[in-house]
Amino acid sequence: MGSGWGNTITLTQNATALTLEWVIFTRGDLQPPLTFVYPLDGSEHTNAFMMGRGTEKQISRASWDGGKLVITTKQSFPNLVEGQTVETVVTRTLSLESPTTLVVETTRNGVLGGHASTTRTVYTKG
Amino acid sequence: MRSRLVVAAVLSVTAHAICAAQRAASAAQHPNVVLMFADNLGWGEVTSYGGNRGVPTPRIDRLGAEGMRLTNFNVEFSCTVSRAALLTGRYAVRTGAQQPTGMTLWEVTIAEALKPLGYSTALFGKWHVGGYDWLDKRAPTNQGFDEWYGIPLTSNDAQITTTPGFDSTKTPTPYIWEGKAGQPSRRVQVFDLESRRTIDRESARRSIDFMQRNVREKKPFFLYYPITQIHFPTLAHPDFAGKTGAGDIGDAMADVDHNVGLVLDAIKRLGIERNTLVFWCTDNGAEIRRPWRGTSGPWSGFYNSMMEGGIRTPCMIRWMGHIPAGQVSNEIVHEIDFFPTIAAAVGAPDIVPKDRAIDGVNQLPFLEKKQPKSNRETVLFYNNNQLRAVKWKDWKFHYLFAAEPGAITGPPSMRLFNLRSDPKEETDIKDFNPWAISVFDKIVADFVATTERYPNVPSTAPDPYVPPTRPQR
Repeated sequence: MGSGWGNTITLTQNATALTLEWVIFTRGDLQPPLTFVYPLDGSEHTNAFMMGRGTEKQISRASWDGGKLVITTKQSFPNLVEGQTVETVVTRTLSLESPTTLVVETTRNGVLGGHASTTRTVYTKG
Repeated sequence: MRSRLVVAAVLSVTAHAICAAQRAASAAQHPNVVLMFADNLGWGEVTSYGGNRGVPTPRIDRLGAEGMRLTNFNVEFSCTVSRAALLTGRYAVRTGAQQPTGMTLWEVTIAEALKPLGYSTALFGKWHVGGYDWLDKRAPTNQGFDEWYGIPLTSNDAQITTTPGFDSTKTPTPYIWEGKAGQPSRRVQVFDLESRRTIDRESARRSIDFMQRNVREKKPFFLYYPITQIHFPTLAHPDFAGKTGAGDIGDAMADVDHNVGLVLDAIKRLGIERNTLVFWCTDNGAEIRRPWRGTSGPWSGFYNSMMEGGIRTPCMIRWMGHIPAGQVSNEIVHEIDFFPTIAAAVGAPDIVPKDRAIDGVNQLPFLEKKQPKSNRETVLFYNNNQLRAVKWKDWKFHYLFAAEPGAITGPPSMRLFNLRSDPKEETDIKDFNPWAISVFDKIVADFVATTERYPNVPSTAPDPYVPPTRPQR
C-alpha cells in the first residue's frame, strides 16, 4: 500500500509549508503533476485534485511532534455505500532517519466494519 | 389366494398410476434447465456486446433480448476452475479443482442435486473437471449426469495426433467419448483437427435428441451443453469454415450461434419455451493464443488473467413468463450463482448442500425483476490457491496486479480501479481512496473465516474425500 503518496515524489519544505509534488500522468496526458500543500503553522488546508471522478478534496492539518511531522488528512466519500458518506482519516508521520532517508508511517482508519491499517514507507533522496 | 392376487394387482396398478401422476405433476412443476457454456469466448465476439468482428450472432442476441442480458457477469479465470465453480456453486479454490486432478466426487454438482427431483441429466460437449485419470472415476456419469458425449479434457487435445513426432505408443490418442450412468464410458472417435470442427454440432444434435426424449416421457431435464468453441484450435464446422471473412474465430462464432439456434429452435418446436430456463454464457474471457486471439471488447486482458477481459463474459438468461424480456443489467452476477438460482427456480432450494460453504446466491428475484439489485456485490478472484483480486460494487482491488497471464506487472502490485470510470483498469487510484484496503481486507477476512469452518479441498484429494471434522464456531 505504501505511504499513499506513490513511489516517486518531490517534497519541498520552507518556513511555512511542506509541498508534495507527485507525477502521476504521462507527458502525453497533458496534465500537471498533483500538488499537495501542508501548511506548517497548524492550520487546516484543502488540497483538491482530479483523478477522473470529479474534483476530490482532502482536508489536512500538519503539526510537529518533536522532530516528526504529523499530517492528518480527512476525506469524504459520498455514496460509496448507497446513501452513506464514508469518512476516512489518514495519519502520516514523517521523520528523517538520515539526511537522505525519509520514513513515512501511514495509518488509515477502518471503515465499513473493516480494520485500520498501518504501513511504513522509506523514501531515499535521489 | 386369487383375491389376494387381484388386490395385489390393483395395488400395483394404483401405485404405478400414482407414480406416473407424481412424475407428470413433477414435470409440470419443475422447469427444464438448459445451460449452454461456450469456451474462451470473449466479450467482443457477441454482437449485442459490441461484436468487434462484425460477425452477426442473432440467435444468441435474441436469447438475451427475450430475457436478461448481463453486462457484469463474472466467472473464474480459466477452464477447469470455471467449470468446477459453475457446477458446484462454490469458488473453485474451495473445491481444489485443477486441470490435472479435476475435482473430487464429494462435490455436489447441479446435475446431482437435480436427480432426486426426477430430472434427467446430460452433458454434451466438454467436461474438464475429471482430471487426467477421469475414466470411470471422475467422468460426468460419476457426477450426476445420466449420459454424456464429448471430450473429457480440453480442445487443444485435438492437436495431439498432428503434433510433429506424435507417437501413439508414447502419448495417448485423444478421443471423443460417450457414456451412460452405471456403464463404462466408451470411445466414439479420435479427437483430432477434423472432429474438432464437428463436435459442437454433434453435441447440439444429441442435446436435441435428449430434450425430445424427455419431453416425450414428460420428464424434466437438465441439459448441460458446454460448447467447445472458440477455444483453440479454433476450427469451425465445414459449413462455416471460411464463410464469414472474419477468420477462424469469426467462422467459429457463426458456428456457435448456429448451434445455439438449433437448440433454441428445438425448445420452441417441443413447446417447452415457457417451462425451460435457458442460460448462455462463457467459461472465461477471450482466447489469447495466436493465431486464434480473441477479443475482450472494451476490457483489458484475456483469459487466465484477472483483468476484466479474463473474468467478465457475456451472459444471457431466459425464462419466458418469469424473467421479463428486454432487461440489460450491470448488476454483479457470478457463475456460482447459477446453482442456487436453479434450485430456487425448480422450487427446491434445499437441494443446495448445507454441509459445506456455498458461495453462490439465489439471483431469481433479481432476474424476475422482483428486486432491482442483484444479491451479490462482491467477487473474489483466485488463481488456484492465490488470491489475486476482489471486486466490490464498481471497485476492483488487485492484490497482485498482472495485466497479462503469467507475468506479474511491475510495482505497485496492489492496485485499485473503479470499473465504471476506468473500465480498462489503467489508472491505479488506491492512494486516493484510503477506505479501500479496509473494505477489501474485510471481504477477504470474512471469506478466509469460512475456510476455517469448511477447509478447502486439497487439489490432490483422492476419492472418497472425507472433509476434516472441525468444531462449529
